[in-house]
Amino acid sequence: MDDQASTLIPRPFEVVAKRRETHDVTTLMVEPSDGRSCFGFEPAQMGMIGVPGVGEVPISFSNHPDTSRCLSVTIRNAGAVTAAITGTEVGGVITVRGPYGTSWPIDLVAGRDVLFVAGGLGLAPLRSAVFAVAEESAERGSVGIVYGAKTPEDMLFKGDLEIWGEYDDVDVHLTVDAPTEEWTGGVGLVTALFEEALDSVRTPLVMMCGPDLMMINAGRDLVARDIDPSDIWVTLERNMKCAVGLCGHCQLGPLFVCKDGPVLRYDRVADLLEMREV
Amino acid sequence: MSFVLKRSELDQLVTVLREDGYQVYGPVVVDRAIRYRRIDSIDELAIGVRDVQGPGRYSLVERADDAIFGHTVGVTSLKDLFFPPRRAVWTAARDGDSYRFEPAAPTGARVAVIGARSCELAAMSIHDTVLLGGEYVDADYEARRKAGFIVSIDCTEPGEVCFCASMGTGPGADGGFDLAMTELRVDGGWEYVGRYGTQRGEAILERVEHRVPDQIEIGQARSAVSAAAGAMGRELTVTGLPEFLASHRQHPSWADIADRCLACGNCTQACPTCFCVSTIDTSSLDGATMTHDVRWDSCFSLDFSFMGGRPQRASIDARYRQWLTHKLSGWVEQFGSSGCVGCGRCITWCPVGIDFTAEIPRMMERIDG
Repeated sequence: MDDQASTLIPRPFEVVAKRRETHDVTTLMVEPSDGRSCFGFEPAQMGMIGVPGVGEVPISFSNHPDTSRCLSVTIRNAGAVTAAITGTEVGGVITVRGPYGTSWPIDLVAGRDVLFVAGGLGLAPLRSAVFAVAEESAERGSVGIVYGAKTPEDMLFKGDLEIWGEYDDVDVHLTVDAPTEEWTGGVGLVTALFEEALDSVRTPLVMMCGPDLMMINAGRDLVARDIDPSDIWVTLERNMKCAVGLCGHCQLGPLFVCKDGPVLRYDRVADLLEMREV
Repeated sequence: MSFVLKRSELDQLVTVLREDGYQVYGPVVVDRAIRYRRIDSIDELAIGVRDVQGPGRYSLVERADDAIFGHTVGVTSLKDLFFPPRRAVWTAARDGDSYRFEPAAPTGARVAVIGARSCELAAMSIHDTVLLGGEYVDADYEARRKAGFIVSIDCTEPGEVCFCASMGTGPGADGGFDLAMTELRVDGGWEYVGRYGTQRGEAILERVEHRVPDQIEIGQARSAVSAAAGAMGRELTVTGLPEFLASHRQHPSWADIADRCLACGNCTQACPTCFCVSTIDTSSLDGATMTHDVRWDSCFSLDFSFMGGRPQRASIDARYRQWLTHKLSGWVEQFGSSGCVGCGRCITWCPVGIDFTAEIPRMMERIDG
C-alpha cells in the first residue's frame, strides 16, 4: 500500500497529545492507528490533515523531523475543518496523507549564516528547519531568528524560542504589534528587527514564512539591505483540495503551490506576491 | 489504410461496439441543444440539424439535408464522459475508535463515442497530460480513458464561434482516435470516408461491412476538411500571447470585462479542458460511513481560493484574469501547450456573451495605442 495511489487515500492517526499554543492555535501530536509505520518528511513538507465526513486542509508538519513521536501539526481554528481537527481530543482519530511538496533548502546551509523570519503561525512550518539547522548542522554559521506576532500571547513555541536562544551562535529577536506591560522585546513589524539581526548574521540564507503581506514587506526590506533575492526562500499557503497538482486550487500564476512549493525561491514569486489577488 | 462506410454500415459499427460491451455515446438533440447521450442506433443522433452559435447565443435549425454530423460541438464535451462531474474517491467506515478506508472501485464502464470532433480529441490529449502526466495521476480518469473507444468525425462546416484552426487542433483529427471519418454527400446519399487510428480500431472495423475508398473519395474528404480550415468563424493570434498575458496582469481591460462577467462559471463547466475540482465530504446520518467525492469546481467561485477566512481572489477582475491567464498562458508553462482548443463553448455558453477572441485584440490595441 505504499504505491503512489495509496498516498492519496488518508490514513487514520490517533491524537496522542494535544497542546494549546494560543487562544486559537493548537498542536496535535499524532501516531498511525492502522498498524503501519509512520512516514518521514523533510522540513516544511505538508500533509493533508482531515476529519472524515468534514474535509481536509494542507498543514506543514511542525515537529522535529527525527522525533520519536510520529508527527505533529499546529493548526489555527479558522473554519469548519480546522475546528473539527483541533476539537479532536486525545485518544480520538484524525486523518493524514502525505508528505507533499518541497522542503526548506537545508542542503544549502553548509558554510552559511542563516536568518529565519516568521510571522504568526508561520513559525510552525519553520520549526522543523530551525531544529535541523540550529541543532544538527555542524557546518552552519551563525543563526538569527526573527519572529513577529500580534501580541505576546499569540507567540507560538515559547519554550522552543528560549531553548534556541541558548544555542551557540543563535540569536532570537522577537517583536509584537501590541505589547503588554511585561513585554521586553521589540514592537512593530519584523522588518524593524532586521538591522540588529543582520549584525550577527552576514549575507545569510533566509528562510521565511508568514502572511503574504509580511513576506512582501520583509522581502523588499531584505533585498534593499543587499540580500540576494536568490538567497531568500519562502513558504506559501494556498487553498488546496488534493495537494498533488490535480485540483487546481493552489495556483499562483503558473505555479502550483502544492507541488512547485510550498517552499519557493523568493525571486520566483516576488512579482506574483506583490500583485493583488493573483 | 482507409475505408468507406455507407450509413447502414455506420449503424453496424454501433451494433458491433455494443456487442463488445461498450456503452455507445453520440451527439443527440436534448432540450433543443446537442449533447452526448447513450445511443443504441445512429437513428437517435442529431440528424438533419445545424447549430447556430454566437456570443451568448445557441439554437438549432433544420438542415436542407439529413446529414448526421451537420453541426459542430454541443454543450457537453468528452469531459463529461471521461472526467465526470462528480465521483467518489474513497469511502470510510468507522472501525472501533478509528476508520477503515477503501479507495472507490474503478469504473467498469467502457465508453465508446461516435462523432467526437478533433478539438475534443485535442482537449482529451491535454487532459492526458494534466491528469496522467505528473507524479500523481487521476486513477478514475486513467481507467475510463484506457477503456474508451473513439470514433471521430472531421468538421467540414465550422461554426461561428469555432477557431480550432488558430489553435492547431482541427478541423480534421490527426490522432487520438481509434477510427476517424469524414461525412461526405455522394450521389444523393452519404458516405463515411475513414481512416484507422489504432489496431483496436482496425479490429472493430473488420467486423463491419466496408470497402476501400478510391483516390477520388480520399481527395474529396481531404479537400472538404481543408476548406473548413479556411471557414472558421473566429480566429486568435497565439504567437506571443502567453507572454503578453503573463506580463499584463494589471491591464485595465480586466476591470472592463469584469463589469460584464457574472462570475457564473459557465465557461469553466462548458470548457473541455478545465480540470479544477473541489472535494465534498459527506457522512451517513449515524456517522458510521463517510464518502469523499470530487466534483468539478470553477475558479470563478469565491470558495475556490478561500484561505485564512477570506477569498484570495475576491474581485471578479481577478477571477476572470485567473481563468483566462491560466488557460492561455500559465498552462503553457505548466503543461507545454495552451489550455484552449478553440471549440468556442466559452463564448456561446457565456450568458453575457464575453468573447475572448475579441477581448484579447482589444487589450493588445490598448497597450499599443
